[in-house]
This record gives sequence, C-alpha cells and structure tokens, in this order.
Amino acid sequence: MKRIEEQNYYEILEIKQAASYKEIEDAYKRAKETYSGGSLATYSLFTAEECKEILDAVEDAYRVLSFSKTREEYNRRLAAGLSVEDLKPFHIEEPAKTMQPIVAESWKEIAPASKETLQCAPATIKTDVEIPKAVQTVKEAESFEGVEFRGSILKIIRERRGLSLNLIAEKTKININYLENIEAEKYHQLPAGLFLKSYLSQYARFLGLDSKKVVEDYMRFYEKA
Amino acid sequence: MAKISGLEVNWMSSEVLNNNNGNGNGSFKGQIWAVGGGKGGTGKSLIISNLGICLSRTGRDVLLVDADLGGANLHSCLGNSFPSVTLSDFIRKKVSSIKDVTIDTGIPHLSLISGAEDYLEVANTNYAQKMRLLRQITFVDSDYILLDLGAGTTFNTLDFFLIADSGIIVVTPEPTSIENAYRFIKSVFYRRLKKIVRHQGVREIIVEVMDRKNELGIKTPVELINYIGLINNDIGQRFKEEVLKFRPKLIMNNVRSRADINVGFSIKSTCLKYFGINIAYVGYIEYDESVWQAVRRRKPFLLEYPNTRPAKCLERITKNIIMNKDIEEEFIL
Ligand SMILES: Nc1ncnc2c1ncn2[C@@H]1O[C@H](COP(=O)(O)OP(=O)(O)OP(=O)(O)O)[C@@H](O)[C@H]1O
Ligand SMILES: [Mg+2]
Repeated sequence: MKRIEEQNYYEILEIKQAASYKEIEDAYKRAKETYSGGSLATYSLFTAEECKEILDAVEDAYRVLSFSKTREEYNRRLAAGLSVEDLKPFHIEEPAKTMQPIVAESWKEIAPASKETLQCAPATIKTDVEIPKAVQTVKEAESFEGVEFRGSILKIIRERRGLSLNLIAEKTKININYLENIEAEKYHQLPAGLFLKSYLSQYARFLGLDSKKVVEDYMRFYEKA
Repeated sequence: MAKISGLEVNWMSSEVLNNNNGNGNGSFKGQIWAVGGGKGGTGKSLIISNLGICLSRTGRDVLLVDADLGGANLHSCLGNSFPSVTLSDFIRKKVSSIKDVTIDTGIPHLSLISGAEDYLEVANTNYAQKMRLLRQITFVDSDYILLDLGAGTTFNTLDFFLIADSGIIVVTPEPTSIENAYRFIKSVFYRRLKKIVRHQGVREIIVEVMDRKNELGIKTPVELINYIGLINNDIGQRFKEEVLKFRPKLIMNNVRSRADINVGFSIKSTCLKYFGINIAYVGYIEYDESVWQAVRRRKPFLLEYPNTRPAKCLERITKNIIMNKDIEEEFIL
C-alpha cells in the first residue's frame, strides 16, 4: 500500500500486471467514472483536487498500458527494478526519421515468420491520436500490394499507426476481446462468420485499409484453421 | 469463570483480533458475521435476517443476535412476535447464560436472541457488560453467529464489528448513506489500529490524524501508515499487516440501475486509494416492491418471495461471503 505518487501504473489502475486489454479498458472506465467528479463514491472522502490528481495519474497509466508497445517497454523497466520516479515521465524513443515505409516486399518476407521473429520499427507513440489524420498520412506512405492480411500483420500495422486496441474498441464498439483474438489469430475464439466479417471490415476501415481485401484475406486464414 | 480477568486482556489483544473468532474459553468454533454502521434504514436488519435464513438452509445452525441496542427489531423481520426473553434480561443479569435468552424462530436451524427493548438502560451498555456478552458468545453452540449492530459508530458497535470474521457494511446509493459508511469505516479502521499499539506517541498521532485538518498534513490513512512507518518501523509494519487483513464487506442495497451497482465498484476503488484497504464488494440488492411488501406482512422476503430478483441477489451475496469472494461483473443480473 503506497501513496498514489509512489504507485506504478498497474497499482494506479488497480489491476494485475498480467491484466488483459479488456481489463485495462474496464479499469480505466471505472476510474473515470469514479473520479471524474460528481460520483457518489468520492463524496466526503476526496476533495475535487484530490480526484483530479488521481485522474491525472489514471490517464498517464492508461496511456502507457493500453498500448502494447509502450506497455512492454514499461514492463521491462519495472522488471529492471526502476523506481516509480524513474519510470515517469514515460518516454518511448521516437522512431528513426529515416524509417523505411512499409512496402510489399518486406511484408512478404516477414508474413509467414513466427511472431517472435517479426521485425518492426518502433511505432510513433501519439498521446492524442487524431485518427483520420494519422491514418491518412501513414496510408500515403505505405503500399500493401501483395500483403496478405492475417492477424499478426494487422497488429503490426495498427501499432505502427500508434493506435491502441482500446481506442479502436471504443470507436468501433467492437468488444476488445474479439479485437485481441483477431490479431492473435485465435480463430476458435472468434464470433460466427457474419459477425467476424463485419468486425474485420470495421477494423480495417479504421486502420485505413482496403476492408474488402482484409476480410477476404483474413477469412482465408480463418477457414484454413 | 476464573479466567475472566485474563480474558479481558485477551479480548483486546491482537491475537484475538487476528484469528478473529474471539474464542474466549468457550467452544465456539464457527464464524461471526456482523452488519453494522452507516445510516439508519439502509436495510441492515432486513439483510442480516435473510442472510441467516439463507445460511440455515444449508443445514448449518445459525444464531441471529439482535445487538442493535435500542433499535431492536429482528424478531419482526423474521415474523416472530415480541419475545418473552430478550438480551436485556441477560444484560440485567436476570438470567446467567445467553442460552436462556435464545429462542426458536420456527425456521429450521435458525435461532434468535432478540434485542433489548429498553433504550436508556441498555444502549449505554458499559465495558463490563460488553465483555460479558462477548465471552458468552463463545459458549454458543452454533455454526454461525450473525450480529445486527444497528447504525451508528459507538465503541460497542465498532468492537463487535471488529471481532467478526465478516464485517458487513450496507450502503444505499445516496450521498448521506455513503458519507456515513465512510465515517464508519474510518472509525473502525482507526480503532483497529489503536488497539494494536500501546505506543502512546503513535496513539496520539492517530487521534490527531482522525481530524482531517491535522497539523501533520496527513490526509489519508495510507499517508498515516507511511508516516508511522518512518517513526517506528516495527509498528509501521504491524499496521501494514493489519490493513491487509482488514477486509470489510460491502453490500449495495436499494439499487435501481446499473449505475447504482457500479457505485459499489467505485467505493471499492476509493477505499483502496484512501484507506489502502481492499473491501470485498459481495453484492447488491435491487430495490423491489416485494421487499417492503414482505416487510409489511412481517415475513422475510426470502421465504415470502423466493423467486424474485432480490431473493436471488441475496443468495448470491451469501455465497460470496462464504467463499470470501467479490461479486463478478459477468453475473450481474
Ligand atoms: N431492497 C429493498 N427494496 C425495497 N425496500 C427495501 C429494500 N431494502 C430495505 N427496504 C426497506 O427499508 C426498510 C428499512 O430496512 P431495515 O429495517 O432493514 O433497515 P436498518 O438498516 O436495519 O435500519 P436501522 O439502522 O434503523 O436498524 C425496510 O423495512 C424496507 O421496507
Ligand atoms: Mg435495523
């Protein structure tokens, strides 16, 4: 039990380090509900300023933990025994300016490989994701000709665009567990075909991809499995 | 009874608090559940009596004790008429054993000690009387003792709450109820801490910090415990252990919406952030006409309307308390 300034992001969100993205999302929503003011639960216990302080900490925690790249980095730092003070403010290195645009050739090379060997330049972490703009600019730089859109590829594309699963879940209203399973290619844990197609199509559009092609490709893998 | 004086010390010592049962030298090996504190009329008596019925159905022997000194009405909750013997007879020493005031409720495995009827005489039960009651409880031959402590934050209420294995707080989704519940948790919390230290300086700090505008600038119990740890590492450590062990249970009553149910989860969060304690949110009970209709007929709603949603809610709460679990969101009705 520590004061909030001394808690790590997991403690602030009151979740385990192994929490799923769904749990992170739920914890975040709950905290917003609790500390955004006017909640019965804080009445007479916390002042408005104290709520604000907690809420700021919650926002910081969510920003880092809701996105796998930053979360993994954070976990590494935690495991390395860095003190909470040193853990924040949290920076992830900006991607190299000379980062190669994703082109079809490189995608073909990595597509069949196992997840561990996937190489991918560090993603730009945008704290305030302006979706349309972000998608627009990256889209122009990329060509997906010849790419087969399977889950692992979709995940990489999403992460390169600095979009968290939570954000997509929130905007598309697709259950975050499904999104996670789509990317993880857990085919047996996905909804029935018709729903899956509709989810895939929304998800693809959100990433600025050709939704028809994504659905076609994905369903091919799905049916093979 | 030779050990009485030794026992008195024992009751207040941490060992007793730790194993929570408060076994005097009787043979009681069961569990004590207590509901108390908070605002009047939030449904405490209603809930504890129906919890008792739910438990008794499992074949375990349950003793309900109406310890709401001055506001006793458990007998009405169970549909019994005013009993001929009550706790006042015991407190006034008209009878020597608590067994002499235990009555049959007509419900299998469920017996009752009815509350005292005379407020002035009994509500101000003194320390010796309280100890006598606590000791006698350990001679009860039952699997469960369920205590209705009523509202308020008198030392009597706090101490009974503290000896319980499960201390239950009933809250309704209204600011007044929640404010009172926090005040109660605060009082119980500080009393518990104060009981485990003899260190005068630390005790004084606790008293000072109970006033939010204290000069030390300590705002929350979490900060207090950190502060104490700096002064005296041993005591700080003991406090931290106590805090981990202290897990009151929360029931939201009179809920009318999903948002009302969620207030319970929010309270869990605020208590963790403020007190550092992990409250168990064991469940909620919907506001329902059937509940007060049963009350009006002086019948427990669990028996009168066993298939209603409040009845199902209550069964789930009983299960969660027995299994020491929190409510799971997926199972919200
Ligand atoms: N879930 C519910 N739905 C409808 N009515 C309810 C519900 N819970 C409680 N009530 C009503 O609230 C009344 C008060 O309940 P109860 O006597 O159990 O409160 P209490 O907390 O024991 O009060 P006190 O602090 O005065 O002892 C009940 O008689 C009943 O009419
Ligand atoms: Mg009552």
